[in-house]
Amino acid sequence: MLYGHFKKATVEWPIIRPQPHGRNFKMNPLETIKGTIIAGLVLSVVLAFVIRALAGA
Amino acid sequence: MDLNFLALDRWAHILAGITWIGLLYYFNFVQVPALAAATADKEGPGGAGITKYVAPRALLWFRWAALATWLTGAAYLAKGFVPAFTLGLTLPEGDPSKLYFATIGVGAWLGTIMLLNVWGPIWQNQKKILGIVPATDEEKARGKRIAFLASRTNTLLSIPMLMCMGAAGHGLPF
Repeated sequence: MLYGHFKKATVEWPIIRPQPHGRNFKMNPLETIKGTIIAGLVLSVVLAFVIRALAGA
Repeated sequence: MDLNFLALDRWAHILAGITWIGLLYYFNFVQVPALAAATADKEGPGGAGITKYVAPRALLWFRWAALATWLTGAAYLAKGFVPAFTLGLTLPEGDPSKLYFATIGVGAWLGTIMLLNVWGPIWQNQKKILGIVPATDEEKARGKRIAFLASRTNTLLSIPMLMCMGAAGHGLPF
């Protein structure tokens, strides 16, 4: 049941699309504009914290 | 009237940067989806016009604007070039400019990776795709895929890069 929910969520998630071989989790965010932007925003948040840590601020 | 070289250089950096990133977004948000739609539309005019007349001009401005952005950015950093590219880690503890150099340094590194991406994987493969250099159909197909992924990588990196460029002088958003 849990697997069913997980599978449904991953298939419906905009970045992750069903793959021909059935491995739905293997999806490159660079394939879609939406995925690219989301990945860029996530990286921005991570880097903001890395910068603060580097500067000790 | 005094000539302020730093202000002139900053202005040139912003102009070149907008040209570069504007064309990057044009490729990713407009041209690539438009060419895919043109190829899929069997009864339409096709994408040959874009490939022949638009893409080479856009790529010319794109790659030279990228270089101009990097050079004007490096000139703007001037004596701060080394502290920026070492992310302020060489500065003494408690130095108030550490945050500035860490922020602009991460942005400068991202911009440098993007510049190398433009002149390397993107331009070298676009030359094959557009027929500027001879290539087999297989090489063209492979080149198309590599150029696409490199261009998308630059779009991804442009988001934190622009955050850093703005945040160095005005503060981080997080």
